[in-house]
Amino acid sequence: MSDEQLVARVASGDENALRELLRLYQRPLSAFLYRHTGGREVEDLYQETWLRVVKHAGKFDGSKRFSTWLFQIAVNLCRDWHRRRSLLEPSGRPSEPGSADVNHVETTLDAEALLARLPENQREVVILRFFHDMSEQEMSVVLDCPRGTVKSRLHNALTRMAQTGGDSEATS
Amino acid sequence: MSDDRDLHGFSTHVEECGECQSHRDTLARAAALLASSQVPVDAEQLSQRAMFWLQPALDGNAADAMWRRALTALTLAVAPLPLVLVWDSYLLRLGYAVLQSIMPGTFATYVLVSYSALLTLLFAATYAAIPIALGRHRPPLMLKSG
Repeated sequence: MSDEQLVARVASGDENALRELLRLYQRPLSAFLYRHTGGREVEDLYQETWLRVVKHAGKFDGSKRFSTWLFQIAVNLCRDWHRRRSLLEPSGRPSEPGSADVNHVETTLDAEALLARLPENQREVVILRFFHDMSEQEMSVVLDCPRGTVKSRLHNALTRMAQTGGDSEATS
Repeated sequence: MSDDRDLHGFSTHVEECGECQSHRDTLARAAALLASSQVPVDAEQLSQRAMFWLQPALDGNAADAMWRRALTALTLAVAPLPLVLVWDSYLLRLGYAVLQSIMPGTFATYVLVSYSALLTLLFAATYAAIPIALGRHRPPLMLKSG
């Protein structure tokens, strides 16, 4: 059974269909949320994402891909989460390069720190492209922006990563 | 380190973009770093806990679907009703004429009115039974442990 058929069953309250969707997407979705938020409040965001899926399953357009819709919801929730967080902690901006976020200041650069140094919109593109193997077209739907914007964000992210990598090489 | 596999996911862009090509080695290292990263999240446990919180919403979907089905069934059942009523009234008029020929008019009217009342009651009970029967088919609320 396809994902889209499973969503239609979720819309009619089929528990097994929801279990199957959870099983199929639990790893990519939790990994996406973890990387987007740096591991904070992953469980809350995970539940909220699925809650939206269940509540709006009846409105899902079966001609579209479920994975795109799922990640669209997740991206929107992550953006809201970052917005709320920046309001609560105006000084804590982990997305700024070279920021003094205690969790990410490390002498050895790791993947988490590398992602944390990217601005939110560039981080999204890198995560979706690199870890979820999404095409530019698919990313433009998920991120609700033109394909050209996705391209330029990816370029800026790679440039920044190259600079970050170069910096860490220079310091080591 | 400039292995193409390390640039998986970025390769299309890197190949097209001259600026990024000049950083190919650094980017390959960054990609390798990303590729080696682990996500310390127990996704299965997350799903189990999520399932518990999603149950009320899922029950809501089941209830909505049930009422949608009931409404459809009711609409389909009600659609031919005017035709049935016209046919019934024709039969009753015919029956009344036959009864009048074999018994006094008042008694024939009494029999006809009683029969009509019984028919109306049966009709009402049949249509009322549709949503009630569907309502009883609603799946029971399943409680899950944490």
